[in-house]
Order: sequence, then C-alpha cells, then structure tokens
Amino acid sequence: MALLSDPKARHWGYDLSKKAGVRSGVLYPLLTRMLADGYLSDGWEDPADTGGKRPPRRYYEVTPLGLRELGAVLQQAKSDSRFKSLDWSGLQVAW
Amino acid sequence: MSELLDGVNVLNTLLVSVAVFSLAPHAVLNLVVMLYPKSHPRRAELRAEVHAVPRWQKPFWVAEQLCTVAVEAVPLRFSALVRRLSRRSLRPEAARLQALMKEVLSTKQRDVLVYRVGLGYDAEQTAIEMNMSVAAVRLLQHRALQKLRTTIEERGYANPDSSGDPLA
Repeated sequence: MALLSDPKARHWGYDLSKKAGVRSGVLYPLLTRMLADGYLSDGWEDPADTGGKRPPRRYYEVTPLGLRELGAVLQQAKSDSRFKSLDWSGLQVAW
Repeated sequence: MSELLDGVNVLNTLLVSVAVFSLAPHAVLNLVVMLYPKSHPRRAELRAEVHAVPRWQKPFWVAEQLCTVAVEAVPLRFSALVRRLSRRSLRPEAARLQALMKEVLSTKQRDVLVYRVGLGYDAEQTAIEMNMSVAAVRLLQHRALQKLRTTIEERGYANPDSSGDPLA
C-alpha cells in the first residue's frame, strides 16, 4: 500500500518502513525480493542533491510489472474481509 | 555479594551499550553494516539512510538494523562461505570451467546449463522453470555451449586428464 500510494514517486527505505509500519528487518529483505522479481527498480540519489553533506540515498521505484502485480494483490486484499479495517482512501491509483 | 557484583556488571554493560548507541549511532551502524559482503548495496544504503532518521530515533533505528543484518547479511555471508569452500574443493579443471562460464556466459545461459546439464531437466521442464518457450531454451543452450567451446578453443584450454575439451 505504501508503494502504491504514490506509484510514480521515488521511495526511500526509511520512509517506506514508516508509511507501511514495517520494521527494517522485514522491509529490506522484502524490497530485495521485489527487486529480484522485477516489481521494483532501484537507483541512487544524485550526489549533487545531497549538497555533499551526506551520502546519496538509494531509492526504489515501482515498475509497470510491479504496478500490475501489486495492484492485483491489493485488489484481492480489498475484497477480503480480513483487511476491511485498513484505510484504502490513500490509494487513488487505477492500476 | 557476587550476585550484587554481577548485577553491577550487567548494569554497567547496559549503560555502556545505551551510551554507545545514543552517542555514536553512526559508528555503531558502520560496524553493523560491515557484516554485509563488501559489494552489497545495503552497506551504502543503510549508511545513507541513517541521515534521514530523526536524531532521537537514531539509536532505536540502528538497533533495529541488527535485526536486518541478522536476517539478510548473516545468511549472505554464510552462503558466500559455503560457496568459497565448495569452490576450493573442486578439481582445478572444474573450477577453471566454472570461472570461464561466469566470464563468458550470461546469467540466462548459465541458468539453462544448470537446469539442462546440472539438474538433468529436459527442455520442456527447463522452459517452465525459466518462463520461456522450449525453442528459446534449446537456442539458449546451443549458444551457451557453442560460446564455451569457442572460448576454450581460442584460449587453448588444456586439461591433462582428457582430450582438452571439458564439454566433450
């Protein structure tokens, strides 16, 4: 959900763990798997943007395949009564 | 008395740990990420990510990375060690062939040889595993073997135990 809340944006590890409420120990292996499956692509921030004050961060972007697959998973979850309590309002994406 | 001393020691250790984590989270993180293999991108990623964490959360976040490392880096290190040990136990010509495969073949070409030659799958099973057509699997395998043979011929691969061609 955190990834699809803004599918065209660059996502950062720490922000994702905050948004998704997932601990890093779970999030990072998950990101690695999604990268391997082709759902995400990654890259590094331009060092010029950091002003030389900190190292460039790694970002993740949702690929078209990821958008399709994760969207399908979310569609399924949306119709599942176990996930009714989740806030779906942030997802205004037509995947 | 000794229990009291033990208690004081535990308290000291705890205080030192808390002090280290709170005063030098970056230094602790730098040590923690060293458990990842040298070329692993997570090393640089976590080092950069800590700058995005609010100051008061840093010690907790760094402590959390111990879990990340335990889940991710330790198995990586372990499998790398196993790979290194198994490579050492290979006969020299096999190790040379393995290195050659890594050098001249693409990942897909290596995969197709692993399925077809290593695991003994037929072309249909391999096609299912690799999510491609049977014709594509056959072509990939043909090209992989061709490439290996050509390279071996070009470099004058000499295997003392055979005719010189490990693929023969």
